[in-house]
Amino acid sequence: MRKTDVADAAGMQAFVVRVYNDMYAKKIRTMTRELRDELSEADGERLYGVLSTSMKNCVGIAARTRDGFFTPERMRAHVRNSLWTLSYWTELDKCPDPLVGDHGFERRGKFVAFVGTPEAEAALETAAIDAPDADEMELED
Amino acid sequence: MTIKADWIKILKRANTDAFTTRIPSRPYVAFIDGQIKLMCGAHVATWLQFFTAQFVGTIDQGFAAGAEVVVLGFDDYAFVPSAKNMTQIKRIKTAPPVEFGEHEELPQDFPDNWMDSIKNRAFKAKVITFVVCNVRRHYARETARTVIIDWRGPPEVIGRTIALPAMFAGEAAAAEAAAQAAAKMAWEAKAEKRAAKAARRAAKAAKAAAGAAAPATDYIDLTAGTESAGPTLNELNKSRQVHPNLQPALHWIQQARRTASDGAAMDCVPAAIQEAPPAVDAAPASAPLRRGECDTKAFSWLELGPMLLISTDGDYIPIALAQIERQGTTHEVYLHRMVCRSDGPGKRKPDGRPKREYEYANLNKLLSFIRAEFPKSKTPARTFAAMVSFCSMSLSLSKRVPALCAMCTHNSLCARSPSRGVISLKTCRPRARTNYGHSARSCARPT
Repeated sequence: MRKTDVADAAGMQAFVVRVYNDMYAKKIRTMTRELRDELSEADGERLYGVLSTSMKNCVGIAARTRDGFFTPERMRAHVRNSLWTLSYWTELDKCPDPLVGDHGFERRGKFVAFVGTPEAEAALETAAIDAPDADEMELED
Repeated sequence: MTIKADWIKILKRANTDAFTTRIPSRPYVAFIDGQIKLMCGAHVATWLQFFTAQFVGTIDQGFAAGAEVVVLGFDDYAFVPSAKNMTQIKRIKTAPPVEFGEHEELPQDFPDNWMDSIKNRAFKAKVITFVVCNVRRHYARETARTVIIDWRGPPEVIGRTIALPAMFAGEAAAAEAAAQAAAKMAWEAKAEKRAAKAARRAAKAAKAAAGAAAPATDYIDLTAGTESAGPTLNELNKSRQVHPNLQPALHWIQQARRTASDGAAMDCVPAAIQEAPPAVDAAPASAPLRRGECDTKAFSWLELGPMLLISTDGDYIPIALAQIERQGTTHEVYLHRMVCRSDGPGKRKPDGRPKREYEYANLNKLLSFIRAEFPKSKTPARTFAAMVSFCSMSLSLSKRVPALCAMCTHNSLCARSPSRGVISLKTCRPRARTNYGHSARSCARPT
């Protein structure tokens, strides 16, 4: 992370790999040499794939944690989702349309879903775009 | 979006002086997140209580803090990005919203199931309209202070007039152009209706006049009256020759006859309500701003002066930090929020429920801290917001966020301050690094 900025796709992907690599250092075979230099986005995705496979195959990690671990495709989308949110927070009303371009969201019928989520999970993680039946409201953080 | 409170705890532990129970300096403008204020507790039992406690009380609180301008913001649903709807899922899952149609009126009595009712967007829109109308009336006589409603389109200024931020100049012009275009369309539709109505009246009147010659007729001939001296209005009234249904139209007929006798075009529309078609600018100055959610609208007002944000929504901290950095403002920005407990449970009410307490967070001080923690980053607040966003975006990921946050903390915030050690996100207390099972040297710094 020394030479990267988490506010772009490559930096955030590298950040994820480094964080998980550190977090599960005792459980999986860590990647020290690969993470020494600056990572491109493609490198980050590739290394996350390696990490993800190691995690899934590691019996020392709780099954629930393993099952909940994002697939490489889902993590890629998650990075995009996060960057879109960052763009929304900084550019406000001038931020790009989340459904136009590669922001990790996709339209499924009349729903918006995270890319990489299976249909069943998507049903839980989506909300109708045009159904004005419920609204976002945060009471507390 | 749901922001993990752990982030705020981390900030608070490292910046205790940035969180105070009293506002340290006087703001010029206070921004109230009206969406949050739409939520109310079970103690509210009437509409009056709701309006007074949630809105008048909060607006007056802004004035009491020293603000001269209080902005009451609401979401403009037309411009809320579709991706933002996804965080609604947990609320929809817990309880389905009540049924309420767009054309229904608000109930006379305050609903018992308020929290379910307010989930319905049509209901919520009606409630916002109710609030806006009453705020308008309540503060209409203000001369020294200003209340601004920032909901749909250009902001509405109530009370003392002030110069709005520059960004609204384009929006006002665009909105005016759009309003002009809409008014012209409405005028054209109205004119068509008028013409049709006039034709119908003329036909009826002709029929009535034709029958006037015959005894006991109910109708009058409008055109006959112009050619020969027809019966006057009084005569018509006296003779009761006009069908009762046509009585209200007598003045139209009289005017039409007068106009016809003057040689002018006959139109059964009184001159008083004949309007020229509204002028429409050929090209609007600019497109209207697409300001949707309240938390993004708030920072449009930052250029006016020192600001107080009144909201318990956790999004405000990363957004405010990013906006202060982006806009390069030197104005102080405070956030009035519920107390974040970083040192164990807070006070409790006699019934055992936690007592609601509030505090002011000085966002400029937090930004200074973030800048110090990310010295190599050109945009440290943006870097911090990226980390918060990453940990908050996905509902399923959030289950594992504390651990991830701990790593972020270890990597960034704490690595520079060995004396503080690593903060446990469970207890929010410093922990020995060895508890994490890796050396500090192996941790990279995000910059």
